[in-house]
Amino acid sequence: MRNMAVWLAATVSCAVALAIPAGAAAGEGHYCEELVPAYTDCANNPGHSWDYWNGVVDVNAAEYYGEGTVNVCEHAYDRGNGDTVSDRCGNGFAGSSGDLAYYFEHNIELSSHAGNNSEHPHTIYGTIVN
Amino acid sequence: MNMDHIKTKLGSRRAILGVLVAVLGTLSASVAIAIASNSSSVPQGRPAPAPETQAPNVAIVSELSILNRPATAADSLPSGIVGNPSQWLNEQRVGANASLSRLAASSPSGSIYLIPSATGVCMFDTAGTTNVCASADEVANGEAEEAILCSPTIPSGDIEIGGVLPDGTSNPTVLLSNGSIQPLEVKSNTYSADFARSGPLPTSIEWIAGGTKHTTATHVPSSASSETCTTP
Repeated sequence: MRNMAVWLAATVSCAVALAIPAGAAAGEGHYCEELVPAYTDCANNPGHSWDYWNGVVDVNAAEYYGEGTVNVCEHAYDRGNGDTVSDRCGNGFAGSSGDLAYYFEHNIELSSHAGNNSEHPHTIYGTIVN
Repeated sequence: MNMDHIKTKLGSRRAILGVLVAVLGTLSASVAIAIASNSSSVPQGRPAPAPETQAPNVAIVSELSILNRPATAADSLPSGIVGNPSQWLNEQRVGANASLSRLAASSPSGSIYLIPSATGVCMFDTAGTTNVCASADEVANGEAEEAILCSPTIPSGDIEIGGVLPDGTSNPTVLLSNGSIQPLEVKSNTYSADFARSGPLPTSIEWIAGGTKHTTATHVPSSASSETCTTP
């Protein structure tokens, strides 16, 4: 039984380590990271599974890192009633700023989204901080 | 030790093993779902944050002379902003240096600062509305602009646009979706204007510089007019 317990502990440690890859900033998570059609939310991009983030977050941001100026939008919904909590659009970056503070402090789950708000497909990145 | 005792002991070990396998199976499935749903890894193609700039970029100073005026005590950002992820995420990415900030405008709701970054400038409103960073080229083109469609910092029936325009602009206006034009108030290179969600939405900003008319899109989606925003 003792060997079994040690084996279990080691397995759990490995699983947790795999879930938090090296190089990730503490408390920062990423989603989308894909080519998104014009004027489309990452969550509506067919064939992709990492396209939004559900959970308690302090910040949600949409980002574009490529050449040129591309408008992006971040969008956060209250998962309880579907209402929009934060929606901002900007060139290359749109962050929720302090909009989510109340929900973060009260441990309320949000659905955080990012999208391409330009007329051509671009690779868009979603970032959350929690 | 009789056979019944041995069987009982083996049976209880099998039961424990079964529980452990079930626990591990559930844990593995949970981790797999977590990894499939969200990723904590730093995305490929994402540039490293720019080092904090030690002086305003030459190009941005030529566009925003306010950044070159002597600093006063009023130019210092309030404490608690720098390093706070909800307020400093973009600024940290672009190497903004708070010690070089200049106060551009004040109102009862907050103060607006211009903060030099590695390639341009950030506009920061302590009221929690506009928070935009842009390169010198983007400022020159009027692309240092943010559209706030839902935020607890503005009335739920409003949207807001905010941004930065370079020195030497005149007659700044906003073109609305019904074709009408209204003046845009610019204070020390910054603007911030609210519009009723139920009315015509701002589609572009126009201004004159060097005798030429310039236009830039606000990128406010038409869906903003029907959006339901909630305030805690």
